[in-house]
Amino acid sequence: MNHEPRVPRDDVNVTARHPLKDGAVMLAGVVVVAGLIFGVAVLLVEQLVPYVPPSWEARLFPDFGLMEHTPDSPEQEAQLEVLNTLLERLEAHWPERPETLRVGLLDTDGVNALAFPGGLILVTTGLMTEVQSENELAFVIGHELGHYHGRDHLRSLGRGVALATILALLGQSGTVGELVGISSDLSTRGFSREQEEQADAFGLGLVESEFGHVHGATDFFDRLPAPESAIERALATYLATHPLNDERVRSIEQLARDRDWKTEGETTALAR
Amino acid sequence: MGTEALIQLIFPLVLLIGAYFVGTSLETKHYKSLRAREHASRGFLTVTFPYEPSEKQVLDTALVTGSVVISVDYFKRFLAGLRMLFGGRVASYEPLLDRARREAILRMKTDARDRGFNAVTNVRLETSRLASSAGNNQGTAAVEILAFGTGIKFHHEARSA
Repeated sequence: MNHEPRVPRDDVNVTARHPLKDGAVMLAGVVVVAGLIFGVAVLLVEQLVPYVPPSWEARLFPDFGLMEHTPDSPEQEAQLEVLNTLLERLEAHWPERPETLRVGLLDTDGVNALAFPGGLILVTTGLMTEVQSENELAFVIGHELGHYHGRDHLRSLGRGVALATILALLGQSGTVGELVGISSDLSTRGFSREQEEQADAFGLGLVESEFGHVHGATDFFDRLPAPESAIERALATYLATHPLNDERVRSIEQLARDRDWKTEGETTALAR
Repeated sequence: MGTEALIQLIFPLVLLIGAYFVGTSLETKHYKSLRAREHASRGFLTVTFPYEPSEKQVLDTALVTGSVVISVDYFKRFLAGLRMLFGGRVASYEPLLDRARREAILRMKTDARDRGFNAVTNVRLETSRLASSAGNNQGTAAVEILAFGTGIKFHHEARSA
């Protein structure tokens, strides 16, 4: 029996393809396909949202009423009174408003206001202590009303459902699913920047209707600190749903100019 | 909350990049070692047919084995995960299994040579999947490649004849 000494070949059982190139091509494919599906789904949601009555919408979400804080001091009772009065004055300028609008307090030092699905607006006690004029507070509430005007909760829900569907499809492929899951956390938190800007515009419109001018509406944001360094700024811009405070003030001023709203006028001190 | 999500995003990315560089370096090294050892043992008769020499020729026979257990790295698994969406050759696993088969055969040859055999006949390769350590059918499993055959020790005269 003859036997020539031989060594195995290197090039038969292994596909000569660079793993990085392989990965890049496939990843690009995933991004394009998933992006297309997501884009179509979002367009569909945008088309459908106006046809969903607010009463249906409220049923899609849990009840957030439990988060509302019942005032437990005369000071907080006064704060709630101020909020209720201001909401009444503002919503008078929006005849097509949903009937379920309500405002309440959230007991925390953090400065924030939140619009919950179904019509509940909660303003933190921290914000109530910081705020100095009626005009500022009116803009805060007006902004939250803007989220109801834009049907933003429904839009975000639709967006979330679209993303969850894609996620479920991709989730079957292990690591890819993990990565997509994490990035989706980033993209569905809260409202989009565009939604926030539209809420700003709507809120400012209400302020203008109520006070006859928009002066002092943004003073509140001027007083909040802006991030200093470039890195902090970049990170904050990426992570933030709301535009950075100083940028926000600038675009609001621009808006007031575009709409020919008066930027001069008296600000009304808050009744405390 | 946002920063946490960012860290969650960065962590797998760092793992991916790390796994790519470590995996590539180990693979290059292993192939180099495989080629050297294959070259050194190329004269050792290893055949797949069931050769039955006459009793006069053979001094001893026994089962010889060589086995390797391999697992995938994070980067290769990521590529394979992508591949599962598109279909086609899972190219990232190919070199891994190629290396495992060749290593198993080399180990079998070593086993045979150490025990004084001159050749291995009826060589077979077996692959079996080991469940992941978590035991939930998820996560990274491992694969065993087993090479085995019949080691044959020839009478010296018969070999040279």
